[in-house]
Amino acid sequence: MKRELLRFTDVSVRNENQEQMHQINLMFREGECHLLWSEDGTGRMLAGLFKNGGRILHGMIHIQGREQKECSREVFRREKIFCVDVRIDLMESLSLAENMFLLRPNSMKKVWFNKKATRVRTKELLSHYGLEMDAGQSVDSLSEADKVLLSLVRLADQHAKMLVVHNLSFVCNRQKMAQLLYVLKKIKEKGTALLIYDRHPEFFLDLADDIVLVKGGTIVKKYCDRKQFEQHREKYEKTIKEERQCSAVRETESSASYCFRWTDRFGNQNNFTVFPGEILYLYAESREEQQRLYRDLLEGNRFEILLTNDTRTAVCRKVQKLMKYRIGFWGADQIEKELFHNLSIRENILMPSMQRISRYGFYRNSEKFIFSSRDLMEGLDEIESTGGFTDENTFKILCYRWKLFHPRVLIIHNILSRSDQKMKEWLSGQFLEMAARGTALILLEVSEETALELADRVI
Amino acid sequence: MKKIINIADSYKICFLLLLFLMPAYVSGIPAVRASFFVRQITVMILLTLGVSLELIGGTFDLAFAAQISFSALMAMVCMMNGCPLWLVCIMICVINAALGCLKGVLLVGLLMPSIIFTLALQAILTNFSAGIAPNSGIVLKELQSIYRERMGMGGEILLVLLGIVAAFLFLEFTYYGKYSRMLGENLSLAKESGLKCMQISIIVHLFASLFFSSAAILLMLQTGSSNASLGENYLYRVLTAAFLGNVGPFGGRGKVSGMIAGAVIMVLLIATLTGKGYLNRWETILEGLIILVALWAQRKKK
Repeated sequence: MKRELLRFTDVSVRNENQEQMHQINLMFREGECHLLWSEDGTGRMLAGLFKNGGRILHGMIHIQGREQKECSREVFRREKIFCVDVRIDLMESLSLAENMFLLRPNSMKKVWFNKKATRVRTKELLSHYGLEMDAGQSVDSLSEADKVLLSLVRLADQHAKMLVVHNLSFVCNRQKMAQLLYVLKKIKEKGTALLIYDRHPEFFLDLADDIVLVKGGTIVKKYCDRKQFEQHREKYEKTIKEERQCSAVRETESSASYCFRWTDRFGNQNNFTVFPGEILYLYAESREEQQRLYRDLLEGNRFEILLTNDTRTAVCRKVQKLMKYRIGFWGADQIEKELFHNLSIRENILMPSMQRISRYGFYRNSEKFIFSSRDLMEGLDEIESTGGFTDENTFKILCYRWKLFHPRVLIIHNILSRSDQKMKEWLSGQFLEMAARGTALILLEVSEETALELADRVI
Repeated sequence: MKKIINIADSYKICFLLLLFLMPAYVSGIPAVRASFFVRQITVMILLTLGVSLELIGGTFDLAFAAQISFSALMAMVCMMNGCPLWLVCIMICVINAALGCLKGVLLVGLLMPSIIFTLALQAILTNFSAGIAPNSGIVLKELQSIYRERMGMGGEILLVLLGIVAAFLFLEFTYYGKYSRMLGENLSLAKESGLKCMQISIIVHLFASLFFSSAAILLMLQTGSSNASLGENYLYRVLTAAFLGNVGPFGGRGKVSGMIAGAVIMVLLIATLTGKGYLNRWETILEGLIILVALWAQRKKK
């Protein structure tokens, strides 16, 4: 009989981004493989729990029968439960074999390092997992996929009890994918439990014992039958396709438009147009793909935005000058950095608009006038009474900041996906208000459900 | 041949400088004696090895010069009070080892920024040394005769060779050498991998302090005196030598061959400048420029 490794009993947990998962009941036994999938991207929260940890709000987590009071990365690592995603850190000053044998707890009594033995052992290990790499090579020449494979082998060699595999298909081409599946199969045969979260679950169906469907931060269904799951997925993909087709029809001609053009790292030319008052959803199949889209858009070559209205066309060719053309960017990754904790809440809201309110920075009179408009910031008193920059207030202050700034285009990156349900609803209302006032909103969101509800157009 | 080209490629700045400096050195300053050259080069190599080991382990040390002055001065005070030479040498080692331990604990255990910490340590040690000795320092002429009789050039060269072999073995053939590279390159990943980072840092600093101690003893014996600014001149010289030798300020990287090449070039450079009659400030300006260029080149490479 397979031994139990990890058990979630009625667990509600909140991660560092204040996203919450509810009532998770899941058991992992040695040599078992669960495939995780979600339409709204919340499945990544469960996988991410093993990497970044979280706070247990309710329920119990048992690791090998022992109750755990903490749900942190350190606890999981101590129990040899590791998470592998596409970001693999290796020591570039060491060779591949040295990375394999030194990135682990070693006895301090060992003094002499036997280079030859480590190389031979690494070669043996790599050939066992069907990998053709030179044990003496430098790791900075390895591709992302090779680093992932190397990391999996390294953890397997450290007798990992469970591996959480997070969106690895993102870095793999067809050949590397086959290698990845082979390595995972070998690891599974060794008795290691696997939890796989991937935006392309179809690659891992042969490996999985069951498929866990997550929606809205909770487990809604378990598929033991592969065909049932495939039917469900087909239905979902059809809905997305239909939505895209409808959006293409809805695209209207307008006198003013903002056309984004850029060349991505592979030399492909991309472009899209957004109209004033429109909410556009740039759909990406996975979080990583979306990050790539975002990076290409804002860091790509030959970047330009054509701002066209009735009378003239302005061209913005530098990302650094976006603000000059009133094109704003609001990203979840740097939400904490955007606040100035040494300034008051009102000053934080006024900050980027200050130059427009008063050229010389004397904005006190205008400030009174601005904040007397309750339509613009109806919840400001509430924020000030609660005081401080709480998570909820941070979102609200930044949202008010953008409302006051009134940008032509606002690029929103994972703001909705990061917030909880209540905040999502509040933000959706605010975005609709901004759109009604003529701001074009571009959504780069992982949470498809909310973005699809809000968007006028999907591309 | 391929290997030579590779080495030349790694240390191209060093080789280029050597190419220009050697003829200038040979033709320009024939009056410089071999003993002067050996004395300079031994101290420089020992100090460069020590500082480079710390740099590889992620510590940017600005206190080593003050550290050698302080330990040598304390030793001289003890000698004046009748302590034998062997005991004084042990004392220098103990002082440097204690300071090395302190660096290891505070820099990795408490994650203090190395530049600020070592700068503060330098200020403390320099002023403390200035407090316990007169401005002219302490002079014991008999030390020079002891040095000539018992040690001489041969002993110095032997000591340096031992140091080079020890540093090479430490970096290439011990777990601690590899660990120190890991600490320097990515401390958080090293911690995550289960390494006992503080212990390793202490060991690396203790090992580096051996080189500082040797340099302090050599300087003390060569000059037969000690004062608060005994090692002051070496601060920028040694850092320049380390950077010239391809030892990165970002930690993790560096080879013993590079360290030696850097030290030799610096000695040649200083000797050439001094021989040609340029003032000390030109030397310092040049050192500063080399540090900036080396940092820029390494950042670009990274």
